[in-house]
Amino acid sequence: MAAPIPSRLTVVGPIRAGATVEARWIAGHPMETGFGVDPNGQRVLRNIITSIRVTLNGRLILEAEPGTGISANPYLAFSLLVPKDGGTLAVEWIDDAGRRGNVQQILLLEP
Amino acid sequence: MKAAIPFALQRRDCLALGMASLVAPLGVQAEVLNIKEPQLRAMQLSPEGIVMDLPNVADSSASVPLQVSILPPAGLLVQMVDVYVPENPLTLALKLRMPEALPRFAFTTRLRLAGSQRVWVVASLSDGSVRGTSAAIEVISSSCFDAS
Repeated sequence: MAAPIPSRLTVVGPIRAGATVEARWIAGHPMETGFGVDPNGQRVLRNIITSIRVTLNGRLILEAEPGTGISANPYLAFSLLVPKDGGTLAVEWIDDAGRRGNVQQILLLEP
Repeated sequence: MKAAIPFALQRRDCLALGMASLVAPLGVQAEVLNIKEPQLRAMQLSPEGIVMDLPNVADSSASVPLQVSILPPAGLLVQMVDVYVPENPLTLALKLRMPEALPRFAFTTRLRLAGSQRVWVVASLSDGSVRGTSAAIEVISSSCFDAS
């Protein structure tokens, strides 16, 4: 079984209702383009993360489709409006090999 | 210095883009047609409301930071954003969709570039209009895309 893809999701900024914060997601993924070759001259199969889905309290808020033009260890940071009751921000993804992963972050409102 | 790419949109390109626009949004067209610099230039996109931060020069093209901020005119929302790298073998680097359109949107990512080129950001707004801007980057050492 393939090793899980390490990833991290952080939220930067004041977690207050209505505030705009930045969510930062990064995954440890080679993002093989399919254009390169290994030391034996064999073409390396394409394996990139093809879909990233971001949900906030279960509601889909952002869909991303990275291509081969996204670097290894893909990074996506995006602006996010904090809901009035906070909640859970979740990011899930899948790559060409069918490997999936997900990571969550609780948005706990600051007093 | 790299020469500017001349405007070279052919009649068949126009026909292909026109046909594709009848059946698919821009991102899907890009995947099918692998949109290149002349097609992007031909769209004569307005850059209004889009701020793009890309380094002028990068030692390595393997990981180039791109920061984008989109603030559409009042009353309009951001529905979709595409990032194109026209000199890469596959030019659509990233497609972002907001199921619930947003009054403003900002994002940061890291690109893998095949070489020096203009990077394009194209945003689709809630009134069906499309806006876009581009920035040039010079790359010292290019990512290896092709074994040839």
